[in-house]
Amino acid sequence: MGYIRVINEDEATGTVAEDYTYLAESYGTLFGFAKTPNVYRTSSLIPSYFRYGTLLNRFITNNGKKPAEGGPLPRVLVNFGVAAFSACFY
Amino acid sequence: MLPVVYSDYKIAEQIVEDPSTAPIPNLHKAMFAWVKKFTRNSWDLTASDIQTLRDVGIADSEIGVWAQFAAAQSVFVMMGDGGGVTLDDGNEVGAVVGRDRPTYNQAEGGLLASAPGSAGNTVNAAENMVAWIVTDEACADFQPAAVWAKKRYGFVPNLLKSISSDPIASQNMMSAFELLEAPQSETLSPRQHALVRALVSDLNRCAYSAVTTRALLQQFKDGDGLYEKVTGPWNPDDWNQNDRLVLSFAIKTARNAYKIVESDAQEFRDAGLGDEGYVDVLNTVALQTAYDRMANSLGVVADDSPVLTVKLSAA
Repeated sequence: MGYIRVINEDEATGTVAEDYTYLAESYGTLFGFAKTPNVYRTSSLIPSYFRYGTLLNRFITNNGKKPAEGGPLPRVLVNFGVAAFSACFY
Repeated sequence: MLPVVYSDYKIAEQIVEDPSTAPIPNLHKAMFAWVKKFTRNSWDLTASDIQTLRDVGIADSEIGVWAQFAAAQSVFVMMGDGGGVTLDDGNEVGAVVGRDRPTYNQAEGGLLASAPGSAGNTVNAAENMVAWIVTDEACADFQPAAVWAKKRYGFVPNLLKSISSDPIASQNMMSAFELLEAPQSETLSPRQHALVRALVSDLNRCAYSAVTTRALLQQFKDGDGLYEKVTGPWNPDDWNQNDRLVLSFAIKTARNAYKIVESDAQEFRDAGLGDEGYVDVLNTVALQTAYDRMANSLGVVADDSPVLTVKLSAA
């Protein structure tokens, strides 16, 4: 996958392994994903950045409990807008 | 991934073309108009944009949350484009707004609008306010972050205060601040890391961050004039080979990440900076950009002091 080497779940150790476990649970529970989305893997070579991606997930999913709720419109539409206006096809 | 909110994925295309004409509720149109500026030209957001959102019933606290969600997605966008990641199974919307679609190139105008050497907006917030939105730095949930900041920096940065209502967001920002203090790989030097931060923040026209990035560069042997050099008109010949590679990639990531290709990563490998150096620059640009956009969009007032660790400030 992608332009660079990544550390996937089967070879992850330490905090990267911990974070993969959390992300898999979060996405599996909330969105029915079979595995952690690819976008997180980009930073897997550097554990501190991979951990930061996990923190972002905790924020937008309220600690992995539920999709972003609250407010007068679904907050995940904000995410969609940023991606769309960045011409980010992912 | 577009959540199941709209009835038709084609609406995604229409939103990208022009959200004001898309068949969506007016509240959504107002949000997308704000998000479009946040993403492409956050430096053009003003206090009146905040008022526009208030006028359609959005509370200041919610505006702050939107800025955080948008900042988070800014990071994900750069990770997606910078990593060249493949779409996850079932990501139909990715195909809808993907690179082969006509709408793809419409990002050119805004994302390329930034020019080196811009000083950034001067923020005029109301008296005793740290941003255009109301903040709550006295609330109990914010105190752990405040204590952490005072210990680490000697004061509580206004950018941290701007999201004082949300403890998880505070934790994110604390982590980002720490990550932005230094490179996270052994191949990127502290000087290169600081250069990337200064250059990117200038491209984002963020007056808030300029205070810090200027001070950060002054710690180096060639620090005098280094900030002006990296934020001045771009001249590749001014830099040695590795600095030029790092800074060129930072410019591309900050301005048009969707143009990143595999050869960009290969250049890092060829130069001996490796995938780790590439990931370090990518994340530094992503984090700096995310928080610059937050500062710009919320009108965060620049701190009196740079956000440097107490140890670095004393050096």
